[in-house]
Amino acid sequence: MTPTTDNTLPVAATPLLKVEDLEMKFPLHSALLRRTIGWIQAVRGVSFSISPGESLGIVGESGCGKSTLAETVVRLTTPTGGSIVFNGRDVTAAAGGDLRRLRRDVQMVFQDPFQSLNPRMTVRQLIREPMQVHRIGTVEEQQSRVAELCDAVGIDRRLIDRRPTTFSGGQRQRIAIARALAPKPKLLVLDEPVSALDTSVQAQILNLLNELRARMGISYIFIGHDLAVVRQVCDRIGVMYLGKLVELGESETLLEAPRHPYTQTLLSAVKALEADGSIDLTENLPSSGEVPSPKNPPSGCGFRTRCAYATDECASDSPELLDIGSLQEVACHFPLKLTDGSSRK
Amino acid sequence: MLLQVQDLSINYASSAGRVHAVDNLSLSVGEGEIIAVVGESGSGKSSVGLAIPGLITASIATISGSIWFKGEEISRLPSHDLRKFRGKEISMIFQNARAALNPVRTVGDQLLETLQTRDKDLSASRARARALELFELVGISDPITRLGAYPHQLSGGMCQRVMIALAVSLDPSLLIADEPTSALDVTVKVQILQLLKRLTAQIGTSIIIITHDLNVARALADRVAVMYAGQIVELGPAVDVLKTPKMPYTQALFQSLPRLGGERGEQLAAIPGQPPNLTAPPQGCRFADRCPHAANICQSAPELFGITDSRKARCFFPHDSLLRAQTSFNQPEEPKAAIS
Ligand SMILES: Nc1ncnc2c1ncn2[C@@H]1O[C@H](COP(=O)(O)OP(=O)(O)OP(=O)(O)O)[C@@H](O)[C@H]1O
Ligand SMILES: Nc1ncnc2c1ncn2[C@@H]1O[C@H](COP(=O)(O)OP(=O)(O)OP(=O)(O)O)[C@@H](O)[C@H]1O
Ligand code: SF4
Ligand SMILES: [Mg+2]
Ligand SMILES: [Mg+2]
Repeated sequence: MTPTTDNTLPVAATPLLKVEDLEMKFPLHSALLRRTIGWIQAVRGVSFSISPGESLGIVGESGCGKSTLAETVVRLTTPTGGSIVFNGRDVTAAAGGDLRRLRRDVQMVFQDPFQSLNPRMTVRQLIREPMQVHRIGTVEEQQSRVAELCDAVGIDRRLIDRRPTTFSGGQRQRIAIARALAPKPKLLVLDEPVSALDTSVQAQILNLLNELRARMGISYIFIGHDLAVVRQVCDRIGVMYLGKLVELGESETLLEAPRHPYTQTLLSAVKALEADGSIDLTENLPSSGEVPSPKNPPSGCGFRTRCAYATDECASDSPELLDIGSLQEVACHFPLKLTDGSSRK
Repeated sequence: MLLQVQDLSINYASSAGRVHAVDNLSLSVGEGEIIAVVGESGSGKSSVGLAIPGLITASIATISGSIWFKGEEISRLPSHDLRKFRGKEISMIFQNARAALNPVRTVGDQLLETLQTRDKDLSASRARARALELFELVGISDPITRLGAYPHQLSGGMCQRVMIALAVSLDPSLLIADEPTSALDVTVKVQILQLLKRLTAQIGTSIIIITHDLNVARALADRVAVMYAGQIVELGPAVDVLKTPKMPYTQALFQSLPRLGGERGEQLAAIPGQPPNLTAPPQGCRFADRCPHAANICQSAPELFGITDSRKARCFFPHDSLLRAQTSFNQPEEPKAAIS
């Protein structure tokens, strides 16, 4: 083993990424009044950290702030509050050389494969570009890495000189993944990377992600809607609701014994949809109550408008994400008891 | 029959030669029927969906075959006449929701325009009320604020739901929904499936839903068509096809699913090899190269054979493979010798 120039060992003790109290809000303009009339609070104080080689899943309702969180972490936007520390450096407001380094070490695969690839470039150029930008390898090395990456994600090498517009949705997503892997990032942020793929290609990509992590110790933030998929690649899962993390825990524990009422709602919907014979599509779901708006989030707990356990306390006090033991953190005044009868702390 | 697609072939022009994206595909959809099209990424599902309302232009592809809608051969109509079918008769939810929306107009304007084009007498206030109602139906919170949002201000799943609202606002006879729920969490997904099901129950809309989500197909569809490399390889009632798939490719789709109960991080059973190059598709079974059951006869092209009255599979060994599916998909099997 050759010692790496990077401080591999000391870093292992400290997290690769540490996000604290992250906030992102967007102004809401009124064209009529020509002024800001409010804010969309997309991310409302999120904290977590990721160790080198660790993989964190983020799940949650559509519109709860997952993509916004991802985009601030990779610093495509600057958060309106909180801090981001990557590899020991505060990058919350990084610019210049620091930002360039971050751009190399942290790559992102976007939710929408139709808009994230420049239609004027060929597949070869698209995958090679990040290596050129960050001056990684010789021309030959870059070319051979392009070919390797195509094989790895299952894009036919013979199609390498075509433009992305001639590829299907799933094929484009694979190109995007190859491109993100090209500069050998330390952290890969994947925003619903496999939801446009058939289950076999999905399996291929998930296998690839697991293999890369085992071989190169790369870390992931993996945003997804399919819990079985997220679990397949993630050590821990964070559940978001209305801009906040409401539960964070080891994948297995969280899925087997969810402690937050929203996580439970989510899981029961999954089970209903997966159950053989299909669900009754004419009946209302439990907890189909009014979805609150990030413009005017409810006081106290964000989930209380749909929660079966809500009390007055839930309206007055905002529950914090607290360690409840068993490697789980929950933001709820009344975390659900474990099914085996052992009560909460 | 509401819709009949006969021998549809779509060949895209490309620098590498003609891409045979869809090959002699036939499919019919009854009144009020929901058909799910599942299958390989790149197998031609969106191409079929786009070709039905005439949205693939002659400049990018050669199209042959015929498409009948309500007894009229719409594939022969000049594009001007076809336009009257789009929207009210046949409406479409595009796979790339955000890109399909107009980026410089608010989603509310787009929805109001659609509503008022359809019904010229609709007053502005009634249209607005209807728009709000539609946003609520698709589960968009704070609909009043959201009507004033531009597509880039909405999340991926919200754009998808705006598209759905646009498409169902027209009460179409046929709805072609290309991956309408891929960006939605499960609770919202169920809500959308309920909405689609109601559309069929209440106004008799027929739906072609293209999806990778086998649970969605099972929950919603009456019949399922499975596509591989430009062809339908399996067709039948949804419950049957999804419970006892007969074509090896369909079986492989199930084998490759991660399961909540499975071992975390285990190697998933992806199909080995690559799908065929569609500029020069193989002569025989298009799945043969990757099929664990392939025998010599598979070098000739199988038809979409009838297995029962309602089920069809494009495979020489559909029953055989069913038996084997219960053992293990990835094991090479012996019929190679038996047949040759
Ligand atoms: N540029 C923007 N301007 C205004 N609001 C925005 C902007 N970007 C996102 N939002 C809002 O922030 C909230 C969170 O959006 P985000 O895209 O992060 O959700 P998401 O969790 O990724 O949802 P999905 O699962 O549907 O993709 C939404 O209410 C969205 O409308
Ligand atoms: N404009 C085009 N020029 C050349 N080839 C094209 C073009 N559009 C699509 N193709 C090819 O046609 C095939 C079918 O594409 P299509 O988009 O219909 O697939 P799909 O089944 O919808 O896939 P997905 O599930 O990934 O969306 C693909 O192999 C694609 O590469
Ligand atoms: S804090 Fe109260 S409202 Fe929120 S999830 Fe817990 S019990 Fe429900
Ligand atoms: Mg998103
Ligand atoms: Mg498609």
